[in-house]
Amino acid sequence: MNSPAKTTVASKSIGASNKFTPRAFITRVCELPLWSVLVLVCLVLVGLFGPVISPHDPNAIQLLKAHASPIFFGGSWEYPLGTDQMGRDVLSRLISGARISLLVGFAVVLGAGSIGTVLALAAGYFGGAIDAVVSRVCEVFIAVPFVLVAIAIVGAVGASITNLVFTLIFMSWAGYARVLRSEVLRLRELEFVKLAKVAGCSDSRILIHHLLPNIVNPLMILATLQLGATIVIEASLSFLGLGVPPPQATWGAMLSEGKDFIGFHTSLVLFPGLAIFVVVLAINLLGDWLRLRLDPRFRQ
Amino acid sequence: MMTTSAESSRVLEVRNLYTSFRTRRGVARSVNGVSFVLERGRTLGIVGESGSGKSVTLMSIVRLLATPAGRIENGEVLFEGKNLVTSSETEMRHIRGSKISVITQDPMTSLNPVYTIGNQLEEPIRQHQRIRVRDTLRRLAVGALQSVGIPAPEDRVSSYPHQMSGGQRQRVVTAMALACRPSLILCDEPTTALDVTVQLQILKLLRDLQKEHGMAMIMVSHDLSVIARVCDDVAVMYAGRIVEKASVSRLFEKPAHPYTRALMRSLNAETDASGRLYAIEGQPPNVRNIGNGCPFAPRCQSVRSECREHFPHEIALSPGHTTSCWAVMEEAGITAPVRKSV
Amino acid sequence: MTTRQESVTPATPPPLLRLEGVTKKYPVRGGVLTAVDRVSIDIAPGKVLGVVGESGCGKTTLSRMMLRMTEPTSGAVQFKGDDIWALDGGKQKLFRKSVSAVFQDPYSSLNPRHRIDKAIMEPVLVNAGKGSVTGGLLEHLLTSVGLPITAAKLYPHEFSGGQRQRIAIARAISTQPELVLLDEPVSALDVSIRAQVLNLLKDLQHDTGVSYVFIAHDLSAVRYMSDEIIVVYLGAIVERASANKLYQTPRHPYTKALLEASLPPDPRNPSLTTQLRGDLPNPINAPSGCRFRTRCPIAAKICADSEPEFREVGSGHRAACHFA
Repeated sequence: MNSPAKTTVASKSIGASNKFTPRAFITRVCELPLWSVLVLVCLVLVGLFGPVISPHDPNAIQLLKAHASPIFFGGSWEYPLGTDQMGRDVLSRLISGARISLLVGFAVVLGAGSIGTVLALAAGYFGGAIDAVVSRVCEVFIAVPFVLVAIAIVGAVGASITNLVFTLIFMSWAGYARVLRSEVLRLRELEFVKLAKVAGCSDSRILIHHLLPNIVNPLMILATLQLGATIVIEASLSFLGLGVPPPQATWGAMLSEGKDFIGFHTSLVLFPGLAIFVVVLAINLLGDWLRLRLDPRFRQ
Repeated sequence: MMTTSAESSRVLEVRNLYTSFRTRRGVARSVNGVSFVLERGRTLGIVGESGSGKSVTLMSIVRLLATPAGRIENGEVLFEGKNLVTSSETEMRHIRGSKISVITQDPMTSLNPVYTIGNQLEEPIRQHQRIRVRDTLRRLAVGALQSVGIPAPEDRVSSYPHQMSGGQRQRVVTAMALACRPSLILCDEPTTALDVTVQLQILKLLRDLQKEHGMAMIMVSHDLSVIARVCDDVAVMYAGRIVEKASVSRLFEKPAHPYTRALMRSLNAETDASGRLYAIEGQPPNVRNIGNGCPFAPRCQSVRSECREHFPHEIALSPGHTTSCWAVMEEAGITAPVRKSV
Repeated sequence: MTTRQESVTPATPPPLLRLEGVTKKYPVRGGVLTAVDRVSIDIAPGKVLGVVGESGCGKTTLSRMMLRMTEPTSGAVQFKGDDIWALDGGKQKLFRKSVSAVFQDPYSSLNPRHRIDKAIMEPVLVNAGKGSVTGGLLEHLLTSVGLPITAAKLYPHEFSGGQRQRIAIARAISTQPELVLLDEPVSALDVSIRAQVLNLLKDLQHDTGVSYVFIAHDLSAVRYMSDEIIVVYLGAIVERASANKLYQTPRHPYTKALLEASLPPDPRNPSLTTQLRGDLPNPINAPSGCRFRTRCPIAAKICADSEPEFREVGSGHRAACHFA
C-alpha cells in the first residue's frame, strides 16, 4: 500500500475498561443479590438431593403421631416441623414439594420460553401474514382467564404432573411471544441487521446468528420472573385440587389440606405458605436484579 | 456590599464550576474548573465535541443534572447576583422558564406529543405569569407563534407537534422559551437536528429575537460555523476545561490554542500538501480517566513535558482573549496568569 | 458519468451500477408519496459519486434501491448490465460480494453480541465460505483501517464511535467489493474524528480503485471525496456536475442555497440571510411544475406551469431549472 492508514489507536487504550482486578471483582460480586442466590441454591440442592436428605418418607401415614408440634413449640427433633393430620412429616413433605415446584417450574419455563421465542422471531422478522396470525392467537391466549382453562383441561384429561406441565406451557407461551416479538421488531430496524442483508446473509442466518443472541437477555429476565409466577400458579392449582394429584406432596396441596386446621395447628399452613413466599420473593428479586444488569435501557 | 457598574451589567458569572457524574465505572469529571462571564445582551458560544462538558455546563447552570448520578461538586453560578448552586429547588423552579430558558437539540422530544402547540405555549405563561383567562392565553399564544414567523398562527395553534416540520417545531420551542421574557437563554445545539437550509433560518430567528428583547444568550454547539454566525464571544472546551476564550472575530483571526487551530482547519476542510484533510489524530477524551495534566496532550502537536503534569493556568494574549496552553505561553513569552475579576 | 450518447470506443464496459428512470412510490393516506422520481445515474468503476440532499430528498430510499433492499416501482437497477432483481443464484452472490455498504450510526451498525473478528469476517464467510476466513486476511483488514490486531477479540462496546466506523469499513471492504455505498458515514462522528475517517476512505479508494457512492449533507466532505456530485431535492436530481464545477459554478438555485448555508462564514460579517423561503413542501403532493418553486428566490410563472428539463448547462454539467 502506498499510504498505510496511521494506526490511530494504541493497543492499550481499548479494552482497558474490562480488565480483571480483585477490586472490580469484589465490587461485582457484592452487587449480586446474595440472599436471593442463597435461597435458590438451597432450593436447587433440595430439589436434587431431596430423597437423600429427607428424614422420613413424605407419604408415610402414622395416625398415632398426627398433629405433632414443630420443634420450637415443644415438639421433638424426630419431626422438626411437626406432622400433619395424617401423621406425615411436614419437613419431608416440604422437601418433596420443593422437587415438584422446581420440576414443574423449569419444565414450563423451558417449554413456554422455547415456543414463545420461536414464534416471536418468526412473527417479528417476517411480519405480514405470519405476524398477523401469531399476534391474534397470542392475544386470545393472553385474554382468556387461565384458571378456567386449567379446570377445563384437567376436567377433560384428568390431573397428573404431565398434564399440569402441558397445561401451564399451553397457557404461558403467549406472554413470552408478545414481549419478545416487540424486541425483535426493535432489533430488526437496527443497522447491523440491514448490513447483514447487504452482505448476503440468509434469513436463517440473520435469525439465528444476529437476532437470537440479542434476544437472550430479555428472555432470561422474563424466564426468571416467570419461574416465580409458575410456582405460584402450580401451588394455586394444587390448592384447588387441579394440580398434581395426591398422595404426592406439593406446597399447594399442603396449604389446601392444612386450611382446615388453621386455628388449631397453624404451622400446617404456615410452613408451606412461607416456603412459597420465600422462594418466589427470591426469584423475583433475582429477576429484577437481572433486568437492571442486562437491560440496556435501564443502564445508567 | 456595593456592586460596581461592571458587575450589574453581568447577567451570569460562572466561577470554578466542577460537575461530575458517578457511573458504574468510576467518577466522570464532566466539568473540570470552568469560569466565564456573560454580559447583558451578549451571546456567548461554547464549542466542543463529545466529552467536552459543554452541555453539562448548561445543565449545571439551571440545575437540571440527572440525579443522583450528577452533582455539582464545587463552584458558583451567579445569576443576576444570586448563586444558583446554593438555591433551593423551589427558587430554581421560579427561575427556570421565566428568568432562564433552555432550548435543546431535539425538537421531537422537547414538545409533548399529546398536547396541542397552543396548549404547550400557554403553559409557561400560565405558570409564571399567573394568567388564567383563556382568551388572553390564546391571544398570547397566537402572538408568540407570529413572533417566531409561523404562518397562519391562528390555525397552527390547535395543531399537534407531529403535524409540523422540524424547523417549525424548533420555532415553537423558541417561542415557548421566550414566552416569559427571560433575561438569559441557554441553547444546546438548537440547530443540529435540522437541515442545513433550515438552520440558517432558526439562527437568524434567535439572533433577531435576542436583539429585540436584549436578553443574554449562551449557544452550545460542536459546529464553529454556527457559533460564528450568532455569537459575540466564544469559549472552546475540551474534556471539561475551557482552553480558549475570545471574541468570535479574534478567534477566527488569531486562534491560539492547538485544539482551536485544529478545529479551524476542520471547519475549512483544509488539506495538507499531499491533499489529505488535516485530522486530529487520536481519540476523544475519556472523562473518567482525566488526571491533572492538559487533557489535549495525547493528541497535541505542540505537546511538552509540562503538559502531562499540570494543566496550564490561564493567560491573556490580548484584552478579552485568554487561553491555557504551555506551548502558547512559551512562544508568546507571557507567563502571568489572568487576574480573576472581582 | 456518461452522457446520453454512447461513448465512441466500441468496447466500453457497462457501468458498474446503472439506475435508469428509477422511481419509488408509496401509497399513503392522502395520496401517493413519491420518494424517488425518475432518477438515472451511472457509476463507473473506480469513480466516486457524491449525493447531496437534505431530509426528505429520497437519498435513503435511493441507497436502499441501489443495495437491492427495496424494489423500484418502475425503472431498472443494473449491476454490470444485469437487472439486479432478475439475477440467478450465482450472480446474486456475486452482487452481494461486489456491493457493500457503510451506514451512518456507528452504534447500531455492529451486532453487540459479536466479536469484532466475527463482525468483520461475516461477509467473507457468507460469500466465500469458511475456508476463506483467514487470520491473515483479518489482520490485513484491521491494519488497513488503522486498528491494532488486538481489537479482533473485543466487542463493539469497547470502541468509540470513530473506531466503530473503522470496523464497519473493514467489514465493508472484506470481500474486496467493487462498489461501496457510504450513507452519511461521518455525520455521527465528532468533527475532529471526521477528517481521520474521510482520509481513510480516500486512501482506501486510491489503493484499491473501489467505487463509492458517497451520500452526505456536508458539502465540504462530499467535495473532498467525490469526482462527480448529484444534488437531490424531493426525490429528483436537480443538478449534476463534477465536484469542482459544482462548487465553482453552481447553476441550480437549490445548489446555490446549499452552498451558501454550508460554507464557513466570514466571522467579521457573518451572513444569516438565506434566499430560501419556507419549509420543505409535503412530498405527498409535490408542487406542480418545478418542485423547488415554493422555496425558490427566482421562481416565476413558468416554474408553476412546466417542470424544467434536466438539461445540459455546461460540459458534463446538467441542471433542472428554467433559468440555469
